[in-house]
Amino acid sequence: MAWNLSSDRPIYAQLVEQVKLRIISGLYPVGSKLPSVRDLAAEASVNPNTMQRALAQLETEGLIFSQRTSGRFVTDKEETVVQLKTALAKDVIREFIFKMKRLGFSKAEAAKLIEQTEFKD
Amino acid sequence: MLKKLIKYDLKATARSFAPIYVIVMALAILSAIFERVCNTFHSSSGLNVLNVLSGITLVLYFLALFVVNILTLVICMRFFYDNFFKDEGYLMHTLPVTPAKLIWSKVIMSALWGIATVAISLLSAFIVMTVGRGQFSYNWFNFHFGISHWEPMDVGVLLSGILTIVIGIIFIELCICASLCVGSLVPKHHVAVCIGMIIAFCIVHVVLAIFVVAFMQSAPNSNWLIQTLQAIDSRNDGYKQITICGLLAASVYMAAFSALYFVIAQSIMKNHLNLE
Amino acid sequence: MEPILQCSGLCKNYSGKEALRGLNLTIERGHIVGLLGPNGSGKSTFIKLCNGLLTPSTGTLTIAGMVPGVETKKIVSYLPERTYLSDWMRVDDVLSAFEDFYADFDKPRALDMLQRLQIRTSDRLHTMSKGTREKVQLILVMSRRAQLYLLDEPIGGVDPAARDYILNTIISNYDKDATVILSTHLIADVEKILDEVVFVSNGTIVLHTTVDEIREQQGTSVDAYFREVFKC
Repeated sequence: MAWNLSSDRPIYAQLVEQVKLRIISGLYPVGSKLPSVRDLAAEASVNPNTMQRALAQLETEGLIFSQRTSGRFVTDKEETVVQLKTALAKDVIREFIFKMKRLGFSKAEAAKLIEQTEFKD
Repeated sequence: MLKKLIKYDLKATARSFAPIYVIVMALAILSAIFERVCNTFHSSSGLNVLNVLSGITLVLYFLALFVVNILTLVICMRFFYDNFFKDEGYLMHTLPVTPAKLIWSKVIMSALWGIATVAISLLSAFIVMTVGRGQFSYNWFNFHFGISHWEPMDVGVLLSGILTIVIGIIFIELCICASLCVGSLVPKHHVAVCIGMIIAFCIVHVVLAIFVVAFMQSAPNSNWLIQTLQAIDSRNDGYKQITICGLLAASVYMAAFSALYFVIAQSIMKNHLNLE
Repeated sequence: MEPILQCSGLCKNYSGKEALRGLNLTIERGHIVGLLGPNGSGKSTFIKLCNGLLTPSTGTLTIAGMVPGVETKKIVSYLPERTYLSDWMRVDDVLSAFEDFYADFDKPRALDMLQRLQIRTSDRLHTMSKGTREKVQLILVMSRRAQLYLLDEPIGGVDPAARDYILNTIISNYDKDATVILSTHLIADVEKILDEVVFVSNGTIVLHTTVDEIREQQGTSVDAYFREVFKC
């Protein structure tokens, strides 16, 4: 998964989102150890201070926790991750419904259309 | 730190000196070989390939010797300028050393190469004279230098002579260094300004020398300096003592001016550096 | 700990030109700061004043509370715009020179970075391409554990792949207590790694803020904002 950072929004906010995606997708499995701040920053080609800030925010949100000597870990609470996944999924759905409404479809019509649409993976 | 700077400088300049030293020694050896061969075959008369070759190599050797000595000064001063006022200056002037140490390193390096050049010159001349012409013997040496009957005063003359030469080398180097530094203040015409400064310094020394001579000529006999000198002169080997005094006086004069040149160079580097 | 850099009323004139006029700036430790401005705005002059290559005409400048001199040169690592390494040298020679002169030089780190670029220590600098020579210089500078890194146009005149390498080298060698000041006019490439930016124009500071603030308040990238501020 590549780090997609756009240039007109604060970087740390984007990093927070990107790490969340990685947690949900299982790239950083539940309870696993995260790479060091330095390595993550190098991977994303960003300032380590910025990455630090993003990780600090994720800590306050309860998605990661740090053990003083061993580093940072993804939360081991399965439910937290599931909640996050659901929340993000709902955001996507809300946006979808909004866009469909603009096209003139009701929620029910949109749901039916989903069933009918082929989706190639 | 100073030792490390000197080591670095020697390494950098060794690449220029190695080939010219090799050429001088090679020509000396070649010339000596040809000379020897000529002598062995007693073909010293008439135009003969060996004779011609021997003559040519000898001339080339003398030419090379002359060039090496001049090049020694040129290489050292060129290195001084390039190292401090060209791109390399970005490295030199951001090293954690004082400008004084930087200058000393170059002066010592130049003195070392000067000594090396003199050694190579003497060694190669020795080879040409002895191997080629078979002229070496203790008697020859004795005749020319009379070592066996030297007195302490002679040693004194020799030592003060060496001191004067060493200080003289440093004096000349620092004069050129200071002039190069002044030249760097005007980057577009740095060569012209440098040469101008050297000429200006020479004029100052000549003027001072004239004053000294005039003073010596016109001072009355009752002057304490004249009386002291006359007193020394009238003694047994007084002329040697006068020589020592003269050499030491010259050394002090040159040392004083060396210090002045050093201060000029150092203050320009410290406060008016302009690398562009 | 005092700020790594403080200057007040800093002015520098030379060659009859006013390069810096009354600069006031404080930079705290631990940040990567971008010194951004058009060509001729005084960025290089400022950096040279910080590493002692130039002396101020008026005003004060201190690095870690000290006036630029031998002691500050021990803690400042400088990468100039041009190569300052002599062509005749081999990589070995340069490494031992840096080891000799700088107590904070981390030779294993340098060797590791050189090896990853497949540069052998026996190689002579004049056999390398310009780009490779610049990378060698960067590796040497970043291998020092300095308190302040001054990088003057580190990515100017370099191809995009090399730019990425350079920026990655900077962030992966960066110590969180150290400060990096890098000057450039190629802002889009370096934005991501900067904490703070200082906009310089005509020898004065126009703006000193953080990257996040610009993005949050202006809703644009620093690059776009810069173009707005410096519109001709």
